[in-house]
Amino acid sequence: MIVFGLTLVYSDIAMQLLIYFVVAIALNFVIGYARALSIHHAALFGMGAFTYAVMAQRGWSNDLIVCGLVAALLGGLVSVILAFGSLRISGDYFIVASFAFQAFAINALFNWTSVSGGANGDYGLPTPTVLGLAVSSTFAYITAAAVLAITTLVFAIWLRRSPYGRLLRAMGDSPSALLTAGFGVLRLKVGVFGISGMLAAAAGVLYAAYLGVAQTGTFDVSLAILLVAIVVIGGTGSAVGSLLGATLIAFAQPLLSNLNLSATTTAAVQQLIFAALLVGVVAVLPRGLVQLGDVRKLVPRRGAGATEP
Amino acid sequence: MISASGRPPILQTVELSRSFGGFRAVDGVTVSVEQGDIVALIGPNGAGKTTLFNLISRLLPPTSGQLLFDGQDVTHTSPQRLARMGIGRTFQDVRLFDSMTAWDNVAVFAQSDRSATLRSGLLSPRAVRREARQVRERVEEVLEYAGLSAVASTIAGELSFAQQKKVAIARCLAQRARLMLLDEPASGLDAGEREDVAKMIEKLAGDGVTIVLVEHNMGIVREVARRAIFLAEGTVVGEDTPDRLLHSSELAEIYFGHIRSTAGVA
Amino acid sequence: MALQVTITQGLTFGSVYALSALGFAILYNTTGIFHIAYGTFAILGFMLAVTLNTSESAVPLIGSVLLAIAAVFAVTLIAFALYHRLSRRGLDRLAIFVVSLGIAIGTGALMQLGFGPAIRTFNIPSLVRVHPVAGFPFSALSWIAIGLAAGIFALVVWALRRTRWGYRVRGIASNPELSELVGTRIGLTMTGVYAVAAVCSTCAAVLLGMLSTQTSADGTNVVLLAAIAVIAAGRGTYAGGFLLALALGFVQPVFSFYISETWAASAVFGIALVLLLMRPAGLSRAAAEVGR
Repeated sequence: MIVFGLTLVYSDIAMQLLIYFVVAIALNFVIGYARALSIHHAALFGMGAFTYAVMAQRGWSNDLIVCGLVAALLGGLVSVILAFGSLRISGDYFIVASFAFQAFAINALFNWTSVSGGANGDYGLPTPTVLGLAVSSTFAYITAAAVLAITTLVFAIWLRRSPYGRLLRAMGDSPSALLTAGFGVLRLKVGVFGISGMLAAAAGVLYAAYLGVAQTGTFDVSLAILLVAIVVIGGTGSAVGSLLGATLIAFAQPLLSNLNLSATTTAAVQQLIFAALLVGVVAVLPRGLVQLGDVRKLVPRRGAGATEP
Repeated sequence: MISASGRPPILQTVELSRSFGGFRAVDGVTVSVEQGDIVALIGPNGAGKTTLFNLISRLLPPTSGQLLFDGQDVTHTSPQRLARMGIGRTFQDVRLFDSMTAWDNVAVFAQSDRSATLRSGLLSPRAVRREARQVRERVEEVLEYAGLSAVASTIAGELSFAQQKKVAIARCLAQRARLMLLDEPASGLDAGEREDVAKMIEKLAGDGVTIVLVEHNMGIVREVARRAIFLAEGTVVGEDTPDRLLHSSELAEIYFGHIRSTAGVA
Repeated sequence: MALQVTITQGLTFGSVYALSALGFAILYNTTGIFHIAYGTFAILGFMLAVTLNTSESAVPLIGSVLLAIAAVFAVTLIAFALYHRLSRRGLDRLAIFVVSLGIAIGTGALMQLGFGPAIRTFNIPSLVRVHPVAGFPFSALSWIAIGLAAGIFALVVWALRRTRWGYRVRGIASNPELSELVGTRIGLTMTGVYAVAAVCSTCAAVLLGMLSTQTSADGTNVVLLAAIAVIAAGRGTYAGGFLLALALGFVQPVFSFYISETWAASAVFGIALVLLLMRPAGLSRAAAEVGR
């Protein structure tokens, strides 16, 4: 029983870690490259979850790849619309607009009961498949999540080192100087937001498939803020940072639940710890936890002439 | 409008104006700069020099007037197109990509327009590799030219101020700018560093680059500029060689009268 | 009938939002800081007032609200002391916003621990009893909301324009560095600003708690509408944010009566989103600023 309990907990931790990691990387693209503080990634993540819920429940498809692609298309599209918004407005305007979008999307989804199941949510979702193979064991789920997470990580690292990524970093540092280099900001922002929305929504598909449930309450503003906390605590613009942040979140909950507190108390204590971490990290380590290892000095940067192939 | 030397003008502005609210920051400026020239824009603070740069690089759209580059009307061209056509500029506050290396700073300006799409990177790796090689060669050549090879892998934000200003000029070089707008290239530098920058400007002009600079340091202006345009309150009030312009008692009054009241400049 | 109900409800809720916006505006306009914890602090005020008023000790309503305002004032003071300290250490606006977010989460969590997750409301039948005026179903609470919003707005605007304090507040808003040089008075002046914010936010949250129910997790909605109105109106205007928030108060009742009750709450955020994205001033400002 205890052994069973432990394996169950560890699979939850692993799934949560891997999926939050993917969403955090997605959010980090927008915060790190476009320097737009998004509070709507929980909504994009949720859109992915409900894409799976609807497609699987209605028997359209329960294939993770098919659903993932549909969700990515949807999330990418919505995110691109917000990218156009971010061109018109920036700073505080974008933050409140993003906030408003998050509130609007989740509220609208909640009311759209044929899709979201309203307050009850969509539950008893069918087991997913990948290319015809049923994903039924815990190991299979973790493998699927790991594949998604590793693909995302490899992509993030490739992106950062590519010429395209160089332009993205430049956009974050000084959009006006990038203009004088001959690059419009529109294409780059649309690209970054698009990729970000696709990843967040794709992660949502896996999340709903694993839990077998999708409820709008899961994807509300508090999750959106938690995601921002993961990125900021780990370090904006750093994939390693997002991994640190996601690990911290994934382990905090089960560790706290060992204290035998009630569910709401556990959640509150967890939030309190994150609040303290958030304020502490921003105040002491402006570049996030990655600053502790100062990864920048350990990893030789591309462009350092000598390291070029 | 062919100038005395017979060389065609690379840049012309015709009655170029820009107002902010009711304030006319640049007010009907008509100037012409010929190819290979070094022209200094001088005048007291708030005369509209930087605004004029913003108009020429199209970071700001003009309220009225016309902008011609290479004889072509570019009044409504986007700033990124203008940059591709050959107008490079630096900023008074430098605006390097602070978190990136000097190498990467220059590389951004050497990259082709194609590299701005994700698709090209994912679908045609061979073209990407070819371009990467070209960019690498270009960047190394430019860093060598600017004497920055030793700091290529230093994060731009951690470079000395003088080196940052050189990186800014190197970036213009990397984009093969034929016209460079340099906004206070020598301010905040010591005498030796100023001399370095002056040499670099003359070297550039020798290589056929046209240069327009805003500068408060009259030593530099006298040393490098062949012509100076005096701006005050958004309009051109004089245009001559720097020496003759600065000896005009009326302009000196406008300029130095102002300088005296704003401590620490020049 | 529907028209009268819509107008009454719009005015009542609009006044509450406008009051909330006024408090957010004075902080935002004076310091430029996006104090997202504003909503959580307001709910803290409401929770304190409810607990004091309904528990055994039974402090009278006015007394409990005043104590709640004092508490909100104290936490606002502490939060801004932290923001200012951090911004002096070179943190940018985004980082300060994240710190504010952290304070909001932390305060919310502490409220969960202290007050529990239960739904709280003020139950004062005499206040919500309807006394129709020419067919408009006004209750005493409606009049209190409208009166408080209009009264406090008039008072604050008058004080900002006509008093020495207002002169100093405007000075800090236009040039914080310079005002810093003037010395100790900045602290005293800001104390007034925090007090106004505490009064507005606590009153708004208490009114909202009388009009509907609140839980200790409800902070974001209070601040969200206020922030949208104030930020969309732009820094430097008080009337703009106030009126915009008032107008947002009408969206929900109008939508409920004429279109769909279910979708009314979504409509508020949807309209706010469109408002923010379409705001033409946003475009012209972005073009005019050739910033980094």
